[in-house]
Amino acid sequence: MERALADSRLRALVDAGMALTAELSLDAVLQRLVETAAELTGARYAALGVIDAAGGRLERFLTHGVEPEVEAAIGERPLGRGILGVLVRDATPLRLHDLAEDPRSVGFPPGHPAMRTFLGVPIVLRGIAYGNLYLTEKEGGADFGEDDEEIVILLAAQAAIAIENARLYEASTQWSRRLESLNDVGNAIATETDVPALLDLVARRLLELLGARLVLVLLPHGDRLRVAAAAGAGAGGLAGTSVERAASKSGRVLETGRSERVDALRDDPEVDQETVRRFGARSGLWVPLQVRGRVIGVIAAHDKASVDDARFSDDDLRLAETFAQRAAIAVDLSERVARDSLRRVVAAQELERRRLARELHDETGQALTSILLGLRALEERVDGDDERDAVASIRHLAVDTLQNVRRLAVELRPKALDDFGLVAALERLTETFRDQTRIDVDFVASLTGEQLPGEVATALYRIVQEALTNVVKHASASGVSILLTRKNGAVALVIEDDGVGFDAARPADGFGLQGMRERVELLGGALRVETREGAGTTVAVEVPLAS
Amino acid sequence: MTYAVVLSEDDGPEHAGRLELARDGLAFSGGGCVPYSALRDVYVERRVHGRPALILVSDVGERLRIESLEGLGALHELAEQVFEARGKAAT
Repeated sequence: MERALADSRLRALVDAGMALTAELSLDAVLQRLVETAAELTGARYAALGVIDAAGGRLERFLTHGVEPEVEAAIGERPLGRGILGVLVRDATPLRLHDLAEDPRSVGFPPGHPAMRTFLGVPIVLRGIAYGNLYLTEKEGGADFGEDDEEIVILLAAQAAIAIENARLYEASTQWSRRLESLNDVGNAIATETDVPALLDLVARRLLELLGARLVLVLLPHGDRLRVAAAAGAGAGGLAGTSVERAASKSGRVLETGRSERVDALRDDPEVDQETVRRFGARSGLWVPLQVRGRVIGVIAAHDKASVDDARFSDDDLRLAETFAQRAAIAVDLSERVARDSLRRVVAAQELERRRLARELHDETGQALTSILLGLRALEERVDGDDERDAVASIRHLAVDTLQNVRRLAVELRPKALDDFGLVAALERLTETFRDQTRIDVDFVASLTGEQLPGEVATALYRIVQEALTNVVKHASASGVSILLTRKNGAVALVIEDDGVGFDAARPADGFGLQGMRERVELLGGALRVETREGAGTTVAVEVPLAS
Repeated sequence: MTYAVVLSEDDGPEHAGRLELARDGLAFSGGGCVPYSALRDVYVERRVHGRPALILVSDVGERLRIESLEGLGALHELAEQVFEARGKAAT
């Protein structure tokens, strides 16, 4: 009889093991495991606790035998204290006659069904405790015996294989889905060439891939990082805002080129808490946009939506890094295409100006000179005073027109810039400016006679022109100093006025600064503006020169 | 729209500053403002050996001379805008 019972239980165990390993869904494996353990041992109640990654608490707790309304009335799931915790710590089987009598027991919460007899068996996965099976209240009121313990140990061993299979299957399925998404994203990114649209696409697609609440793409902008694109909750209000490079996690990632992940932003002293409040974020990960060793921006993601604590996993970080690599290439390519287009447009504009200036000077100017000579000759030949006065008047008009034409030609494209170089052209420009405005201009150049490349000279000339216009329009300055020097393989230009300055945090589109910055960045240079209300303005430009 | 200009009133001393075409008149960085409706005459003056200038004559006879410090065509663009604004103010 006993042998028949043992055979029957073994058969049930084998059947259970086969059924378990046939399951590919982890949730289904775990639930079936709990039910099978109860069935094999005749336990009224069964539970399975999954231990968390830190190995100290139960992160999941599945049950069998407790009615749903009773579970709801009990409330919070056990975390692994008392007898449950003994198995978490010791990972060895445990049988008890009466749970309540064991000194390690912490009792039951209100509403919990009474439980006396107990059997606990660990589930060990490749040498590490994955979780524990807990069985209570063997039918008939008997204690759990050695045979119960043996059979559950065998079940747990089979379950370990089934759990490992299910986890591998789920992981491979998830990665397969993510790879498909990455491919889709990569193709979409590769076909978008408009930089703002591309950045929007990057933000939206990463939001979907990570299941994040908010994703931002930040690009360097002077000493700050500007939110160039945003997707997710509150994104509309964040695009166009900026954070300080020096005081932000994004700035740190930009500097180091290394990804970072923070599970609880409130507890990280390196995170700017004002920014955290503004974004309403709890967790975050940051990955650099890096191309050929150069970090061109940062992608920040906040709050994984599908988990209670909003934390991102290591997998999420790896996924974001893979995505950022593709996105960086696409962004860099699009920016280079845009820069090349702009460079061609600017070069074409300057060429047209040069041609118009030449046409005005050589053709119109020459024609007017000829008219003047003819009029002078005519003036000497006419007899009457009235006729002579009329001819003189026409001659004065011709002289005036000739001067205007010459002035227009210089404004279009100063000949000094092409014939004698930047220093001569700026000397002429600042002299004219001083004469016209009565604003004192101190121009110092120490380029020691060298000629700069044409596009560099033109850009710097136009920047000085724009800056002087700004001084008149906005600065109410009495003096301007301009310094042009060579500095470590670059040419440096500093324009400083003693005017009223402006609030640097306020958008300053009317100052043409964006245009100046674009000209400089086209040449691989940088432009910096330092200003404070009441304290003047300094525009500093540095453009590298090919060695 | 703003322009960098040199202004002088009734052939007095010149000073450089910003001219803005506001909705109802011309506003100057020095603090003055001339309503379009108060302009009796507007024309471009050309002097021998001088730069062209926009002349504004108010209805009380005050004469404002404006030279542009910006590039090609800026003065004429300014003139066109003042003509247009003055015309609208008169209707």
